Parts: sequence; structure tokens; C-alpha cells
Amino acid sequence: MDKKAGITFSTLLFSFFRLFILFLVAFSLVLFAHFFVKTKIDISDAESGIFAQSIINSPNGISYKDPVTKRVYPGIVDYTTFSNKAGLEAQLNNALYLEKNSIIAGAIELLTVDMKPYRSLSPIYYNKDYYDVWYTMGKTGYMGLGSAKIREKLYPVLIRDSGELKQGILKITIAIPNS
Amino acid sequence: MHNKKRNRKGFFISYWVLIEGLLISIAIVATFQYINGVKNDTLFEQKYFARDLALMADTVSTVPGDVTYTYSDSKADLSAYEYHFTKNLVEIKESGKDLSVTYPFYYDNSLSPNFQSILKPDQIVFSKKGASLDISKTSGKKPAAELCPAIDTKGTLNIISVDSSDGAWDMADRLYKRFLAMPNAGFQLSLTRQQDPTALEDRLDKISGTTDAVVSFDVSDQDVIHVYASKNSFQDSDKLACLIINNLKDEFQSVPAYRLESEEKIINKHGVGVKVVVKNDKAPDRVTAAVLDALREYNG
Repeated sequence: MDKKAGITFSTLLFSFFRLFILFLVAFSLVLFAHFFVKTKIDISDAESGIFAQSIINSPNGISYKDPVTKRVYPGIVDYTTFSNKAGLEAQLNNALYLEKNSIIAGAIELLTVDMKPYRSLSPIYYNKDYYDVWYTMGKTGYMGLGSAKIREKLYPVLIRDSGELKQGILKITIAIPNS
Repeated sequence: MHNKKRNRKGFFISYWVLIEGLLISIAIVATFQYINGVKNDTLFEQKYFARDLALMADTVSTVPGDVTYTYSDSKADLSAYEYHFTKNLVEIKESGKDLSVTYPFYYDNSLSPNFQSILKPDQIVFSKKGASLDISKTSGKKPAAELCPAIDTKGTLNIISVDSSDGAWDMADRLYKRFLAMPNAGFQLSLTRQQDPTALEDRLDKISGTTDAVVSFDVSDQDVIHVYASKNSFQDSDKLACLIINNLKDEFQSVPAYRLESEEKIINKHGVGVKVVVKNDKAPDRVTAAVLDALREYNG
């Protein structure tokens, strides 16, 4: 290669390098705009928090309700009521009623303080059909639209069992689809 | 020969600089276009309200005991949209547009829901009392309606002229457009002026002997509503002023409203005449809707 051809080649090579830097700068601009301008709203944290509080505080939720005064005692769970799985699930789906529920599902477990199922009680489900699907998808860790977010919340509660109040933990697992 | 080669090299370099400049300009313009598009897009705001209101409905419906919560927002303009609460769904859209944003909410099915469609509100009231769940524009504590003269005015207004000051022209124009969109108003309506300033005498000449009533608009800096009634045909004018003020009180509940006798020429020269004065940033659509409703009520 003669000297002139070498100079032309290096000039051309440098031009491509400049072009590459230019594209990098332009791409950074677009990336910054996308990074700072939010067009999507993710309310899954607030939604799961309100859902858990609704389950605990609702007069027809999971907390003990005095049959005479109809007063609700949020934070006190009645063992007899909780052990009636079918009845409590129907009650819960009615208390947090959604005709076509495609936004939220949950599982509620009553645990002892050492995190074992209280008297081997099985979980209570809200919107069970979707819960099974979303929970499975959420556990894959996939972040796309078909997947779901899983939130776990633990609340210390008192378990009303045979006239006594025992310490326990209420574990609420919430599944919210990404779409 | 040597100079020619140098020129060619110079052309080559400036050619690249031009391409680079063009590419940078495209990138900058595209980015600003995108940001501007996002800024002007109301869809984000509608999505925000849909979610916020749905969460509010979730919360209020599951509270143990009774609660009333008045929802308003200082960050976004709540009064820019229409809100339709149906079973399990909050739907938000801009007036006159088909596109809507929805978001579901849950509520206790043992409650009896009373959900309303709410148009351009300043606030939305969520209330749970006993077994009733209400979502409405007001808390039910409406300001007391004024007692209107008990006179028969049915069908008396056939031709109505709408006048305005320079600052209130937009309101007169909106009223006229709203009137044109009404299928059976029961009266004719015309404007005394277009957007350009016109002398009062010219406006008076224009409507002389051709109108049954004059409705005039003006704006002020104070957040007070004044509705003036013409001294001529005072009882008739006072009835129209009374109907207007009651509708405006419903629309702007926290704003003090007064009805007074007017000395002004434009509304005194003809039969029935009223002048509506509101603060210059009051939602003109809501003011004009209140006035048009009053005109229809007046005519029976």
C-alpha cells in the first residue's frame, strides 16, 4: 500500500469511528429520555398493601367478628372460622367482590410464631384459579407481560382458639399480573 | 494541482461534518418530539386517576365502620375528565371523546352500591354508611337553594341574545356552541358579538327589538359569583337569575354566590335580562351548562 492510499484509509477509518461515537451519543439521548420520562404506572405495591389490609380490616374479611355486636376485631383470627376453608373462601370472594377478577389473587395462611402452619391448617385462597397460574408464573422470575409479581406480607395476629388467644402469624401471599 | 487535492480533502471532511450535524439534529428533534408528545398526552393522567380512584374505592368499601372521604388532587386536574363508576369499574374519558381508560376495583358485595357518573368534578366523595356505598360528586350537603319568584314563565323566551365582555367572550362562544349541539332547546339563541371587541351601542343596536332576553357574561378577579337581574321586568329577570344562581351553586359549592339588581344598560334596555359574573379561571363549560339548564327550566 502506498503512502497516499494509507492516509485515505486511515481518514476513512477515523470517519467510521466518529460516526460510531455519534450514534452512541444519539442513542444515549434517546435512552435518557426514556429513562426519565415515565409512561407506565406500577401500583402493585400499593395494590397489594391495600388488598392485605382489606382482608384484615373488612367486616366480612378474615378477622373475628362478634356475632352479637357485629363489631370487627382486626388482628384477631378465629380458628373455627379459618378451619372452614370453603365457607371463608366464599366469604372473602364476596367481601372483596370483583365480577371478572383479572387483577389480583391471594393466599392466606395462618402460622404459628415459628412459621409452621397453625394446627396444619391449609391456606385460604382468594381468586384461586388465577392465583395458581400467576403464582407459578411469578416464581419463574420472568419480567414480561405474561408473568406476575408476588408479594408476601406477614402480620402478627392473635388466634382465638377454644376461648383462648394465642400468638400467631398471618401470611398473605399476593399475586398481581404484570399486564 | 496540490491545491486541488487539498480542496478535495477539505470537501470530504466538511461533508462528514454535515452528515454528523444532520444526525445530531435528527436525534435532538426526535427526542424533544417524544418528550413533547408525552407532555401533551392526557392518557397518562387518565391512567393515574383510574388507578388512584380504584384504590380509593377498594379502601373505602372495606373499612370497618362508616367513613366519608373527599377525594381531590393538587397534582393533576381532576375537573378535566368525566368519571363513570359502574359495577367494579372506574372509567375515565375526556368530554366528547370515545377513548376511555378503565381500571377495576373491588367492593363488599353485601353493600348496596350507589355509583354515579361524575362530569368534570372538583372533588369526588367516597362514602360508606351502614350498608350503603356511595361514590358521588358531593357529600350530600348541598348549599341551600335560593327561593325563586313563583311566577309562570313557561314558554316566554323564544329568542335569547348572549352578550359578553372582552374577557368573557370564550364563555359566550361555548354557550352558543353548546346550544347548537342541543337537539330541542325550545328557543333560539344568538351572539351579540364575535371575538373582536364591539362597542356597547353597536351591540344594543344589534339586538334592538329582536330579543326576548339578554344573558350577559363578565369575569372578575374575585372568587365570587354574582348574577344580576335587570331592573326592567325585574320579577321575570330575577326568576332567571335565581335559576342560574341555584345551578351555579350546585356546580361550585364552595364559592359564595349573590344575586343582585343590575343598573347596566345592556341588560336593562330589553325585557328579561341577566348578567353572570364569575372568576376568570372558572371552568367555562360548567358555567355555560348551568346557564343553559336555567334557560330551559325558565321556559318550562
